Amino acid sequence: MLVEVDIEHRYRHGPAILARFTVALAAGRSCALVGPSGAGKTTVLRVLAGLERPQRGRIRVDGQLWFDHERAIFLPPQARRTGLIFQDYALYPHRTVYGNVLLPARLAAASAAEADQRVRELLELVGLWDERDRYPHQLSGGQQQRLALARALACHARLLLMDEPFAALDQLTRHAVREQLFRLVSRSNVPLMVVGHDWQEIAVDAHWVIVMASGRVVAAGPPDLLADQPPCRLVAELAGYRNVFPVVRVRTREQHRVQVDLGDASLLVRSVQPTPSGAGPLWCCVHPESIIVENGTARHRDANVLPGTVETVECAVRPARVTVRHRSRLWSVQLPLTQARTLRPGATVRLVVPEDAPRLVQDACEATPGPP
Amino acid sequence: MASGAAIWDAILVTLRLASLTALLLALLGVPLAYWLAMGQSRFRSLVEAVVTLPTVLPPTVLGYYLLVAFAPQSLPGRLFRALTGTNLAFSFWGILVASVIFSAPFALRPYTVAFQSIDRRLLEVSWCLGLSRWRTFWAVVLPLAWHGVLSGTVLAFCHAVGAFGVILMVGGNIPGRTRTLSVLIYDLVQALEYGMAGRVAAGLVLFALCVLLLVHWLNRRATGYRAR
Repeated sequence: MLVEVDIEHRYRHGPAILARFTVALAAGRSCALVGPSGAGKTTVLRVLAGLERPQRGRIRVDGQLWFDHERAIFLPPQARRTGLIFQDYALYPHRTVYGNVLLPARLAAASAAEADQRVRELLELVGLWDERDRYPHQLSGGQQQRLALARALACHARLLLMDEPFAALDQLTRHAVREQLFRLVSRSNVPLMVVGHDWQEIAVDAHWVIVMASGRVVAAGPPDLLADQPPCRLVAELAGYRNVFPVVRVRTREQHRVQVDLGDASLLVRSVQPTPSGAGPLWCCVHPESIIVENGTARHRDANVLPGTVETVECAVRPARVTVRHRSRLWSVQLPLTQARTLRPGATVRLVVPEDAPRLVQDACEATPGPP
Repeated sequence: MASGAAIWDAILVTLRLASLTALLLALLGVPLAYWLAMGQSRFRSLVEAVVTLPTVLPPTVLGYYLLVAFAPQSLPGRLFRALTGTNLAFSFWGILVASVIFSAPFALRPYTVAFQSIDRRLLEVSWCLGLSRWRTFWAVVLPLAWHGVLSGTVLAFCHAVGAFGVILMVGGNIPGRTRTLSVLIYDLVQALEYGMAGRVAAGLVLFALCVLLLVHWLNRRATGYRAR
């Protein structure tokens, strides 16, 4: 499925959303729309579903025009067949599990028997057939989400749309439900577009990621590529780079190797991507898991070895989080629990930043994503 | 002395008037209340104000304007005469129209509140699932709002039973046609038949109490349902 979006939408007294992207989604594949709160992700989802009519632009899905401002084409939500799943699922409280799925299934089926068969298949797919006589409020959060998925699939949806699907779940169930959801979507053979602000939750399992900020699409690509080579500071921060520092100066040492001056630290960086040359400040981003921590003081003047003092040690999470002060800066590091337990606040350590770990990025993304 | 037949006539006229009022308000009021609750028209506030007007207007003021509107020379009066051959003023149909207008806020308010309490995303999900707006209304909206629709209809029925000023202005006091129980009580008091007036009034008080208890019970059920 090829989804081409080029729209401008503005809520009354709100900022304009200018979304322009093209994404190809095979059956069972997923695209994540990620960005900070207020980026316009949910608006794009609602526009795709046909619940909002943009002021300008065009939406084309597999060659079919869903919206064209100039030609006054606007396909209503009923004709688009997008199985929309809201943040808290919006299940019908007055209908049982079976009744929730039957309502759209009855529309898509030629007979009552066919609808019944379809409901059974879907409830078995999501593992809720034994709960068919219960009401939504009697289900757990994960079960409610699976019910919402079954209901969305019941109408033979061409495209599944999910808005912050894990926001209503507690942290304990979130991980299990996320894995289950992406597995079910993959088995359902329906492409999925999912919206969220947490890269770890939404993007890591997606096949394509679109990043939005301030109502614009700022980057797009496969999640592993974006995480490895973030095009700008926002994407780096979303992808978990906690050490993001402004660059004072960059000097080329040799081909693909540059000396990056951060003011109170200097790093030798072997670039895996060309150093950005556009206007605006540069940022040096280092992922916490790329940094090596060694006990003891720095005795030699090796490049990329920064002496520091441990400030905090958080062993309640896996991997453990440690912050180390090097001069005026705090560096965030992820360590195995066994190593983190040997560290105490105030201890003197060495931070070793491998040459291929830092990423040099621009402040703002300018990319206009094209098709994958 | 009011005869048993006169009282029965009044009961029948009252029940007929109240039932038809409640039925018409359910048929016309439910779509109007749905539009008021869910619509985004800029005229919504104006329509809501016009519909609520009878609650703040003295019944005689409303009755006066309706009487003028129903006069044989007026457009509605002439139209009605052309269709039925009779006058709208001082007829059962005249007091029915007056009763519908007078009781409308009492039905529309619970209807609107019931529709407004429905999560709009339930509707949006239904549209995305392929359900038409009409089918969404029957399969999702009405089952979730039926407590409010029922209590509004019962309240309108109750209010129509007790209407007096407007009915007297528009319908006068014609036995078997426009004399309702409340007009009969007024008649009995005028004739100094306090005993009979008291018995009819007590019957109306008992009836109103039963209906209010029913509405209260329905509202409690609806609240419990929404809280789940």
